[in-house]
Amino acid sequence: MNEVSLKGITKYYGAHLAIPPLDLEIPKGKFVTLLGPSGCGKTTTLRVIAGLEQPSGGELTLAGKTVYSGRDGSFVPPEKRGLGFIFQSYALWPNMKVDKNITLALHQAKRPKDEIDARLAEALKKVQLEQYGSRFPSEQSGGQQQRVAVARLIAARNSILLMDEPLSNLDAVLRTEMRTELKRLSRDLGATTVYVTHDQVEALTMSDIIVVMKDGVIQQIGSPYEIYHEPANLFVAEFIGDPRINVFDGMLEQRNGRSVLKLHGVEVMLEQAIAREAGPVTCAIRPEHFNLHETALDNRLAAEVDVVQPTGSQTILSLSANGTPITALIPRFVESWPSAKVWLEFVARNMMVFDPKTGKIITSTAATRARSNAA
Amino acid sequence: MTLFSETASRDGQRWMRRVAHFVSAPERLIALGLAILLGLLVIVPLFQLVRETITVQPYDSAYLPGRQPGELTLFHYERVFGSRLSWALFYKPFMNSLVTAFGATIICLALGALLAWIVVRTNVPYREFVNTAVVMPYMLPSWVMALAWVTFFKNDRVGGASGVFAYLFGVQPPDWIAFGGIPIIICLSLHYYVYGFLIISGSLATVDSQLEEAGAIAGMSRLRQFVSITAPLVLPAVGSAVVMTFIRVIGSFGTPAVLGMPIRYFVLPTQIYAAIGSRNVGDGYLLALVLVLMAVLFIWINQRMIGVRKSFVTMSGKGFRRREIDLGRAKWLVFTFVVVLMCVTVVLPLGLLVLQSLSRTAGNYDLSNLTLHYWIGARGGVNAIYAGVFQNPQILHAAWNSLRLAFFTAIATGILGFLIGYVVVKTRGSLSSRALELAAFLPYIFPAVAFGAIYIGMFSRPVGPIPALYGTFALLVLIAAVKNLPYTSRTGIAAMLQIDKSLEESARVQGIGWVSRVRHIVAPLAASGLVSGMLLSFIGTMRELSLIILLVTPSTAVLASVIYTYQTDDVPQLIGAATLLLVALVVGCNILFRLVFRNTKMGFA
Repeated sequence: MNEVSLKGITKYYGAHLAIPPLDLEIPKGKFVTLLGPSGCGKTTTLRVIAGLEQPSGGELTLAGKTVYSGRDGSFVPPEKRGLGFIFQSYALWPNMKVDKNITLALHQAKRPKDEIDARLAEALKKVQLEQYGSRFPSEQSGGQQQRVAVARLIAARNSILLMDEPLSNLDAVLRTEMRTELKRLSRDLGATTVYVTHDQVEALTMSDIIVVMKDGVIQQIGSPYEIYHEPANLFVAEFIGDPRINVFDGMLEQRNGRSVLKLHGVEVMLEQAIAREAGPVTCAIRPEHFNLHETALDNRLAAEVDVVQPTGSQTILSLSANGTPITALIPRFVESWPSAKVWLEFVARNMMVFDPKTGKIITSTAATRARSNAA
Repeated sequence: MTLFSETASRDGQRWMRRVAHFVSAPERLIALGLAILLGLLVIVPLFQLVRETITVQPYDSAYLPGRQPGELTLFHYERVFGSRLSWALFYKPFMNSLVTAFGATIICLALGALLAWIVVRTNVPYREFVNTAVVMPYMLPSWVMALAWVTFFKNDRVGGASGVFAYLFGVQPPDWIAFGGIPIIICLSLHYYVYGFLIISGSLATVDSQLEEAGAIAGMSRLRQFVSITAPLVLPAVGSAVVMTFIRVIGSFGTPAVLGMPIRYFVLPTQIYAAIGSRNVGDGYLLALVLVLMAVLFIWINQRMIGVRKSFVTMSGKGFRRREIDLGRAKWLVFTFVVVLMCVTVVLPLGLLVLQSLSRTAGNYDLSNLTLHYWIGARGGVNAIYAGVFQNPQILHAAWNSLRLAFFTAIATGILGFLIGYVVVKTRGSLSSRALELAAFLPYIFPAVAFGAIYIGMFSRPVGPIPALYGTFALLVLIAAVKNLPYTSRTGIAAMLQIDKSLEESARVQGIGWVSRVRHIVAPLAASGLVSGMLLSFIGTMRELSLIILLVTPSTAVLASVIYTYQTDDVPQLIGAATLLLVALVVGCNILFRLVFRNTKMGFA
């Protein structure tokens, strides 16, 4: 059953259309991430779900209950929707101590006192802030403030959690730590979570489902594996993956029933034929999918080694082939490359081919085909 | 047909939902309420003012026989601008107003900018003390300086005892020093320079010295750096300082009344006062309209030349530093200058008033002539008619009125500031937000005396649901609160802007209703910002004279207006004592406020 359902939701700001008709179904208990560059409408979508923004049209259903309908103008305000929300700024009330921050909503809902105390203790215990109840938020570190926001969510026990870039104000180490904790929290509460971020690492590591958005339009909905390996279009391919995917202009030729890609004088014979007329295409290959050789051979692209950047477990090679920059990733630590040149072998099953005009994918890699066959 | 009625009923339903939705958002309801309130209190007066100038007034019956009051006429325009009386009625006061206002504005700006530069950019000794000393005149009523001036330089040109100058030197000071334009300019300048100082020093403090250092590295001379980097950055602030000072100075009543009226040197505010005092309201309103138009013109010119919205934000968090200019030995000279200035603006005037309040016979400053009668004496002692301030029911009542008026105005400021700030910030970017901000700014363009004049006309009869308020204390509170609106709304908006939007949204999502959101979150967080605005309006109202001089009646008289009436009765001792009482009340309340609100410290920085 779908817990959150958006049907044809639109949002205008004055004459500016921020979200063209948007359809999104979020199944119960899933961790769904809205991912995209800033200004893509992901936060607006989240705020529409929360009721903090009123859509201009469409229909929004939460747990089977219609909370907004553009047809009859009905609108359930956010205070009656019963959602959990973590803000980018955490939105802790600076005039209240931590315990009051966590229990204010429960007090306002006139819950019995012992229940409030029990929930407070449980929430503080879960985020390991037992001794900090009587502090003000300003007396805590960024990480602790984040935990208070999480504790507030735990105490409220909502079945739908919304998170708006909750980790973007933390430093790198804390971010990795809190990532794990948020994922665990979502799992333990069994809650449906909608998570907004522009950080692809967060999206890939935490999500069951990733929704990639651009200019208010959903580009692709899929599991992290699908998003990474079978991007629906060039935008998704380029947005996901660090270092960035390599993109080339190529020519497609049809030869004896086989499809052949020609790029930079190299021919790659695809494993499966593409039903498309010969002509220009856009090819893409991820940096880790090259085979690197130190000797020249036919059908390999010669490239000069420009910059070598070891990151620990991997090394990023910045290469240049006939003036075209190429990035390659190798799974070991290299401080400097012994030779000035390398030869790149394109592996046919890892090649992605896109329509140069629409940017839509024409073929998918063999790996994903194998996976979908298995499924 | 059935189809039609079906769609009609559905449309009706939709419309009902829309209305319900509109009403369910509290900020929209408040916006609606405020729009009606501000329309009534700010927009209507402007129309009222124009209307009164083009209709026949009861006063005019002698000049316009056969015309009924309320009929349209251009009579006032003819009399004020194009008759034999025009020179005395309009052109001369107008010229006087221009001369005194421009003169005072120029001195205020020069002095304010110089002091701002000293405090912000030089290594003047005891900077904190200097900073406080420079704003001290703000605590005093603007006309204290004028009273002190009269006490010192009063000559035999007018009735009553002569001043300290004549007593000390045995010579009567010349007329041009005792009364008229020059003393008015000096006295206005020595009070109103504080506004220029506050605005310019605030702006100068945000200019990063690194910008100038970058200029120095690029090979610019000191002068070049100032002309091409610093000056353009503080120019918008200078522009708004000019406008603010000019509007305040040209609308100022107390100082020209004390220093000009005895020798019939009129400026527009005193001319308006005289016209309305003699029931010639048509001419009075027309003069008020001239003042309003001048203020508008001034704001408009400033916007065209500099652009109010073009405020430069150069603050860049990290690495912000201020370069201090080493004055060397001259720093003690500068310090002495500030100390002398404070003596002239604060110590000397107050000292003179103390001396005056203690003399048995006015004009005799001999030690043997000292008495405490005008402080604690009962009627029939030294002075048969007037009792000392602490025995004088009129003064004590007026002091109580002053406190009440300031208190209620501060409360109104707090509430209105909160509501306006809340609505403007919540609906930011919408038409209603901008309209509300503009309406709240409008009282700024009414010079104080003119505004008082309009309110007399408006509230001498019932307006809509509001009963006739003329002569009531409520009218004083109302006009003080409305006149304060520009500052009120600014502090309110600033207080609300510093509250992150997500703090209230977070509460909404958690199911907390509007009333408890405001009670637990918005109000406590806005309080600290609003309190400072309330304190300002409290002090401002305590010493307000121009605004309410036309509106007070014997029962609603406040200390400032009572002092003004004593001025015309020529009891200098009582004026001195009552003025000192007012100053003591202002300073005392200020200290009390600060002490009280220091203790209610919020749990955040």
